[in-house]
Amino acid sequence: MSRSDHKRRREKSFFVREPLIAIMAAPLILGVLIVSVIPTLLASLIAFTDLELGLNLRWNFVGLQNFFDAFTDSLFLSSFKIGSIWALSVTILSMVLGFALALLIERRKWYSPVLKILGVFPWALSPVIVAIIWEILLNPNSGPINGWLRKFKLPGGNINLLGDFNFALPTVIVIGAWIGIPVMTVTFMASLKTISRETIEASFIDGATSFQRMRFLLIPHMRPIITALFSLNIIWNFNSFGLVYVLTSGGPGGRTYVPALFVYDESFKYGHFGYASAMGLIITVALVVVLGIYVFARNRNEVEA
Amino acid sequence: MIKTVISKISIGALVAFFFLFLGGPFVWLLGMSVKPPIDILSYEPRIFPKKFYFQNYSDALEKSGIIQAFFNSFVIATISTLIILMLAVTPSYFFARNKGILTKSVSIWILVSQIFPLSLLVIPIFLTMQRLNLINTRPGLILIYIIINLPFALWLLRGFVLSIPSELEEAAQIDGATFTQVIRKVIFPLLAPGLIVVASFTFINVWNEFFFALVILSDPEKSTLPLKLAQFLGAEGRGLFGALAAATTMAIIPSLALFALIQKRFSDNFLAGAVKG
Amino acid sequence: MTGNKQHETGKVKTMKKLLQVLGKIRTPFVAAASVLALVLGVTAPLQAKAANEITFVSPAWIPGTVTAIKDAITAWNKANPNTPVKLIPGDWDSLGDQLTTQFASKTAPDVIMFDSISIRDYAKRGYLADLTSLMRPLQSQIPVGEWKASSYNGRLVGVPFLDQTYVVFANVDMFKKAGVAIPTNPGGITWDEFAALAKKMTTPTSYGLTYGLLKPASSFMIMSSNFGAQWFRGYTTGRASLRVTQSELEVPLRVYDMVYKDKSIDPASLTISAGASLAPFLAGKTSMLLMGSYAASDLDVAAKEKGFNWTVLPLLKGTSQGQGANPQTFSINALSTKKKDAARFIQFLMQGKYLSKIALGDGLVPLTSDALKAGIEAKKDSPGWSQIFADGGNFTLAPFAFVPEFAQWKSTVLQPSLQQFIQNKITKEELVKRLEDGWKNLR
Repeated sequence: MSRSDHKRRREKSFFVREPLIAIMAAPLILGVLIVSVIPTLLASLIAFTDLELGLNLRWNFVGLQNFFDAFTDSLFLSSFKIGSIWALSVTILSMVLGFALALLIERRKWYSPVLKILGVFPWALSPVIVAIIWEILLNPNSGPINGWLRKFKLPGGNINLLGDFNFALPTVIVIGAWIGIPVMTVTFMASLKTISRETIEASFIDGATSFQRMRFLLIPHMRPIITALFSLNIIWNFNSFGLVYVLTSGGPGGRTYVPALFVYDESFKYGHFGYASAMGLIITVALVVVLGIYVFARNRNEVEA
Repeated sequence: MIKTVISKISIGALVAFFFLFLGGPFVWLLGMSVKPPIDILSYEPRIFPKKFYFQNYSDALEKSGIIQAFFNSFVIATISTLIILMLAVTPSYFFARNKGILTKSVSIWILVSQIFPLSLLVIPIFLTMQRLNLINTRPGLILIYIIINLPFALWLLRGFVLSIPSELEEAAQIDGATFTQVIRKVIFPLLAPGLIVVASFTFINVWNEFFFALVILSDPEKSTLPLKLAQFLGAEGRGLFGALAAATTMAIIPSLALFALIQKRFSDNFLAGAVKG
Repeated sequence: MTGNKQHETGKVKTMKKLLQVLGKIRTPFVAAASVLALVLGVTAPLQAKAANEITFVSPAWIPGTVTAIKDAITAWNKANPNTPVKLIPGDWDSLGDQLTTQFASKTAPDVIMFDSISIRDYAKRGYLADLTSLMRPLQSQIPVGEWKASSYNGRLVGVPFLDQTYVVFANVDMFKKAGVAIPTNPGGITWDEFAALAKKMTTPTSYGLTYGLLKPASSFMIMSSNFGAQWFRGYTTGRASLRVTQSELEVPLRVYDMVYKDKSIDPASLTISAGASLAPFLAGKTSMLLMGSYAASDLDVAAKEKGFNWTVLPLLKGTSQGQGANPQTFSINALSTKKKDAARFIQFLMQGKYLSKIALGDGLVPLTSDALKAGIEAKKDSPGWSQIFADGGNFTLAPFAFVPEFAQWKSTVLQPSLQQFIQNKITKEELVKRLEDGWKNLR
């Protein structure tokens, strides 16, 4: 065949020559669109109304009023700040810990199988149960953590860490990271396995220290998965409120009031669906923008690298 | 020499930290499950009580319907996961291979819709379920779990497919393989680990899910495990913690067994090239 | 051209391959999934709702209470086989969400057990039936304040059946050792006397009082009726207005002084919840505990297991002994087709013999005179319980009961502000400002 024929054949990749796949995929994709995207669009439309929950649903179109209200609602704005701190901290902390754990497991020492099980253990528990266990661990009277703090005369021994204005958010973040470790560990482990043993051995021979190895070999290799994992987790964590809800209900004094909890309160507890939807829309747009910039910047770096 | 010592100590410290941080709560949970109620309130904490109190376990088992709830959770999670896997394979393959603008924007749309807070979608979803007469039915709940988890499964699986170089398929085709053979012999083995990862994530999400189960199911016989466990709790931070700990311990064992099974699969070097954004 | 021809035969091949693929890969999955789905789908109708079943959701979780409720249901079902009651267990924290969704989709149960503040919102949205005439037989037995607190726009929306008072528990042995007499004045002890007592009982090794102040809003609000606090005015005509005056601030200020001036309240109390405040009291860290009466059931257990000797001080008195009513209630779904039977069941459940057991299980005061009598009789050997029951008549109507937006203001403004005040992060003036501004800016 001529060269151009070869090229044409290669361009029409395997899948294009099998319209079969498109046929099978189309209805499903359509289904996902209908079931996932469209309700979201509809819910977004509610953001422009003043819908309230009730037996007789009445609503009026109010345009951008909800958005103005949201931007002047100091509680909402501060929840944004708290949510950002929460999402970033939990994601970064769980990533670092998950990475360390994955490395330790991959060393195939005596402790590796134990760590493997421990690493996925938080997964086995529903967030509500996790919250309860940690609440009990952090009980200032009967919990071991406070007991320890008291024993070593460290600060915080006599107070409820979850009820203290300064410690509440950090404490909740640590627990959030605890829950997030399995996801990170499992993914990193899988990614680590894709580096061939030879490459690792070679770095040993070249006399690289572990730190150098990490910086120049492992991390660059895993960059795409780190990016993807980071983005997904920021989204998840920003929107998660189950843990915070059970542990602190957003307190004390609003120090752990994350946006997702705010939205939930407004919509479910107080029935202000229009307002809550506007907040939801703001959150979505903000996350999309931030992540868009992040991913764009990363992709650029990759291309240049 | 010193460097090795330092690094050995720091690694040791790290291992100890993980043992404590990850395992500590579990050990405490075990301890709680054998503590009598009075001890749970006690001021000086001990890990295990002087006298083991196994009544928590019988209390937990007696709690009406907990075994049924376990069964329900398992069936619902398994079915949801299987269906999602089935449904996600083809479209994710499509999304991975098709580089067209339309496909890219559709996949981005799907991802963005996941960012929207779920609590706002609950009532519209609920009203729809009601119109379909699926309220208070387990199949209805399964349908919801599929709806919620499918987009993410698609996205994840797409990532796995992307890591399988398309040249492999072409090469196989050039070598004369039929469509089915390409799928079975080339794609499927390489995708298997990805399928396992997606299956695990999905299963766990459904297994632990509380909110939709709470609002959809009202018959006690249909309850899932998270709902039943919540019933050990009362208001204002009180609850039957001993029995709850016992119930949770019992619930964890099968979950861990499942993970152990999956972990075995992981250790095989199936995962070469499996994970990429 | 060669390419096109291949493409065309491709189409025919496609259909064949479709079947092939479906056959090879899909079948096992599809088969398994459909079998399981079938199994579920088939077994589900077997539990189809009996036509005349009355569904009853209850978040009760304490074993004693649950047993009492189940016994009542069994007895009812025997006597009323045509209208059986089905118990749906719920849990306090998530019941609100469950009901909100179910009400919105018209699938809520017939009978709902909850509390008067939580149902206010449902009443506002029209979800609850008017019980005024249905429950009239019980009206004479229930304190007026409680009845009014469970009404919305003059109509009863929930029958109050249990309520709690905030009481001061005392460690008898510690008082004996300190040589201080436990007051027994039936007219109650004043806040001044109480503060003095706490100070007296504070030694270098133990504080006088534990009072879980992590979430002080409920206890402060309810006890504010001691000083005739009104909080809200004008709630009968449109949106109520909030005014924070001295009477509203009495309780928070007095507690504040006890913490920071007298230093008679254990500072560890500032960040622990009510539920967690029991432990230090049981461990002898303090000689008194201010908590909801429900702690009595746990104290009974401690008494049995560890020989813990406890009693209850006479009810605190400000200008009166009133405490705001916030009872647990039984409501009926406005859309229920069995309202009359549901009402009969509720009255059945509230008979003295059942209600007193429910109350004892939870450690709360039953609100019908029959049940109160039965409870007093059952616990006449316990001075602590006797005191709790004796206090039962002091429930008064608090104005916040009438204000639907109260729940929202309470959790978004009142709670955080009080937390900040009691932890000494804001001044009294700042507190007042936040409370009033927060109300004004409420949606």
